[in-house]
Amino acid sequence: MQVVVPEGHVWALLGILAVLAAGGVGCQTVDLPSMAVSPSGRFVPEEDERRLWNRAREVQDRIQRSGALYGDPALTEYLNTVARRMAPAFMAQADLSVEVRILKNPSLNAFTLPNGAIYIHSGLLARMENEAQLATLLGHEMAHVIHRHPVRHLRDLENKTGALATFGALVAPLAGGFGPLLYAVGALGMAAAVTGYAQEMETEADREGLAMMMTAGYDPQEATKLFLYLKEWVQEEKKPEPFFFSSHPRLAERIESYQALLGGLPPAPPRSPPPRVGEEEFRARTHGLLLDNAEMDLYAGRFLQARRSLHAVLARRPRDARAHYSLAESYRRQGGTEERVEAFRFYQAAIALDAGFADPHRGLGVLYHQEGKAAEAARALERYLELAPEAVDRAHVRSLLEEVRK
Amino acid sequence: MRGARWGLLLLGVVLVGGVPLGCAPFELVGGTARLPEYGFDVTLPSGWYRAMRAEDMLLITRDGILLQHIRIQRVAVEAELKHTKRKFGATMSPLEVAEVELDEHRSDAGLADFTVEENAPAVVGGRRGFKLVYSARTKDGLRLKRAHYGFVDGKWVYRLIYQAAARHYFEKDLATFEQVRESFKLLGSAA
Repeated sequence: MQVVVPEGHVWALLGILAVLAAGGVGCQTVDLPSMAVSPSGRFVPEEDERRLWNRAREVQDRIQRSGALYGDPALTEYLNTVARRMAPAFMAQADLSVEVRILKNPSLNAFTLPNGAIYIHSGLLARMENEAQLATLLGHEMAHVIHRHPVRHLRDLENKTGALATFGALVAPLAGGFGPLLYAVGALGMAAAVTGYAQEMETEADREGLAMMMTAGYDPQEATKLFLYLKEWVQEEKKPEPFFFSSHPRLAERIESYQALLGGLPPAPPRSPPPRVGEEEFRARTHGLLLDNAEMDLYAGRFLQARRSLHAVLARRPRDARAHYSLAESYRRQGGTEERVEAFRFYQAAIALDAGFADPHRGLGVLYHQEGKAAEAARALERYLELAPEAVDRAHVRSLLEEVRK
Repeated sequence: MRGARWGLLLLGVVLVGGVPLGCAPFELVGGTARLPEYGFDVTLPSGWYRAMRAEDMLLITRDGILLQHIRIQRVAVEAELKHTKRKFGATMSPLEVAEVELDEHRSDAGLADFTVEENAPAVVGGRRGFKLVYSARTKDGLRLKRAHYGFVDGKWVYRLIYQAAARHYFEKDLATFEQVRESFKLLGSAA
């Protein structure tokens, strides 16, 4: 039996289940106050919560070692600047690791570890349009942490079943990867229980996250737009894709929840400054990520998604040769007569913009070869080898050249 | 009553052992193996073990599947692939098939830092195909490396993959893999 768990939740599961293994199973209160109302003024986590945070740090280390992080320090710092702008002061005092990291992954996903570390997949970031939409996501995720949803969720699970005592044995296979762990969780029928928060927690995160983004000056109208936009993407996919609110019904819940919250907002006071949307800066900062993520979409065969991102790049930078090249690749890889015409057009545009760019010549050569235009194919492939003599596929290209020269 | 006791004992052995009776998970191999269910025969190295529960492929290892293994499988040309929505085509050139294979493997969310070292034409079992060499890191941070040969034959795409930890293990059994690849022959093939 294969258990389908949204990919982002795998890391969160790791932390939660590891704490279960460490003990502390018993009937405990789930009704915990928010970090904001700590009587001492400085939040001190409870014992099981502390263990949860410690394990989360170990998970962070594993993610760091895995090579899955997207390496753009400037963009990562920008995301953290937005997060810091929104995070209440007590979060920093509570020894939480409130930090945002990007994972190289084209799927629509994000997750937060119990210690406040937020991971956003490049695919999700690439589909956002502005800073206010980013703030919506960050607000929602931070609200889960502030309201201590991970430990509440954990205790709720512990209280619901005595079977959790067996989790100690089940967590043992963790060292070898996630497969055995997920199998074990699924076998106990726990997968659904541990892959998403209860509806009231999600609604609380919507409400509190929205308040946080508004306090930070962001336009709350962008919250619903983000989810509507994401829903479109998910529907275009036509089949379930890992998604940070687990599934389509959860996404629909978020849209309804935000619409209800926005409907209850008082009108903005007259002469108040317009709320921040932050499209210009967001687009400028995510330029490279859009290109990189579009490349991943190309590999995954999600041509429409790749082209959307690439057209968004070209809308800002119409002379970007790499975006033209990737567009050409999307059409060539997709195949078809009309697509081939488009591929030719974008390869030629890429070459016109950057004559020293080798890859479009290769693409052209392959297309000419497919069309039986030997002389044109030979010219393009020769040019590719001139520009990239050490290319990893040079032997293939030489072989193709020999073929077209015959 | 006695039967019930024996039944419980048997169940206990199965549960404790974790192994279904009558089916060893690994079997020692060596010499020519004819696999009509996969449409080929191949000479396997001595001292290696075949994973008997591997589905839809011939999977052999000497030091453990996670450290190093060789797998040979065939995939229907029209089959949906696991990680990419792209598909193979029966008339694709080796270069195009190699591209789909690369897209499939680098779209695997379990791998990061995917690096292609070689993408070249090759002959496998008398068929025009390709050779890929690439490496990637697993979620546990282990860098693994693969030598991957492939070709299209009618409605099937064949894959011969050697995978090992990049450090130490990959070089150790690469020559053995090449011998396996050279011995590979499609059944019913004159090549």
